Amino acid sequence: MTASTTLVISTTIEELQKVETAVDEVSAAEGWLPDIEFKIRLVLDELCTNVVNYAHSDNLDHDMTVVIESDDSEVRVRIVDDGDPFNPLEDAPKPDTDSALADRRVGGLGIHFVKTLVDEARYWRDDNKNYVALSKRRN
Amino acid sequence: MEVRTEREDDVLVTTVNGRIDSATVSEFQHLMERAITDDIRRVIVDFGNLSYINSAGLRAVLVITKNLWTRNAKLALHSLQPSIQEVFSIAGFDKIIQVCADKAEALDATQEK
Repeated sequence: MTASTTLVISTTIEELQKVETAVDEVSAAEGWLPDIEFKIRLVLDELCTNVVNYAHSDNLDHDMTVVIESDDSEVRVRIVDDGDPFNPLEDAPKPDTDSALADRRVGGLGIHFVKTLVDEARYWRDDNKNYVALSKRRN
Repeated sequence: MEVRTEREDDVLVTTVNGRIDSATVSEFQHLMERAITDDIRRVIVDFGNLSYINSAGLRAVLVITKNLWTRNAKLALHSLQPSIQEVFSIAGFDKIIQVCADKAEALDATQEK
C-alpha cells in the first residue's frame, strides 16, 4: 500500500497538532509498527518545532509545508519553510551526550535525534526556501 | 499528561501518564518541582505509561535531575517503553540518569549507600 498526505500549516506551535493528526492517519492507513510511528512523530516534531521557533527573524505570518509518504518499504518525510537559510543537519549546535550531570548541556538534542533515527537525511535550498527530506526503512 | 505523586517518608513516588511534549512540558516540570519538597531525598518516576517524549521533555527531566543532585538527592526512572529507552540512550542520558527496569530496582538504585 501507499499513503501520502500534504499539509500546509502556519508556523505556530498550535498548528503542530495537525502534523500529529497526520502521523496518526498515515500510521493507521499503512499499519506502521509503534516504534516507527514514535520515531517519525519525534523527528517531525523536532524539525517542525525548530521551524516554528527559529526559522523566521521577522514577526510576520508564514506557512510551512509538511509531506508524509509511506509505502510497504519506507517512510519519507519532507519539510519546506520560507525562513532564513538554515541547514539543521549541519548548522545546529552539536549535542553534548557525554558530560557529567553537573556540566551537561541540552542544546542540539532534537536534531541529533533526527540524524540518528532516520536512514537518510538531506537538506537543500531552492527558491528562497529550506527543504529537509528524510527517509526511514520500515523493517 | 498526568502526574501522580505519592510520598513514602522521604521518597517521592511518581507516575507519569500520557505525553511530555512542547504543549505539556511546562506543566510536567511544574508538577514535579512542586511535589519535590526540600525534605525529599529520593524521587522514583514510573514512565511505564509515558507514550511520548521529545527533546523539550528530556531537557525538563535533566533540569529536575540536576536540581536534585545539587542538594545530594537522587532520582531514578523505571519501566520505560523501548522507543523511549532508545531516545534516552541516543541523548546519552543513560550515563547520567538512573534508568531501571522496575520500581524495586529504582528504589534500590537510589538507596543511600
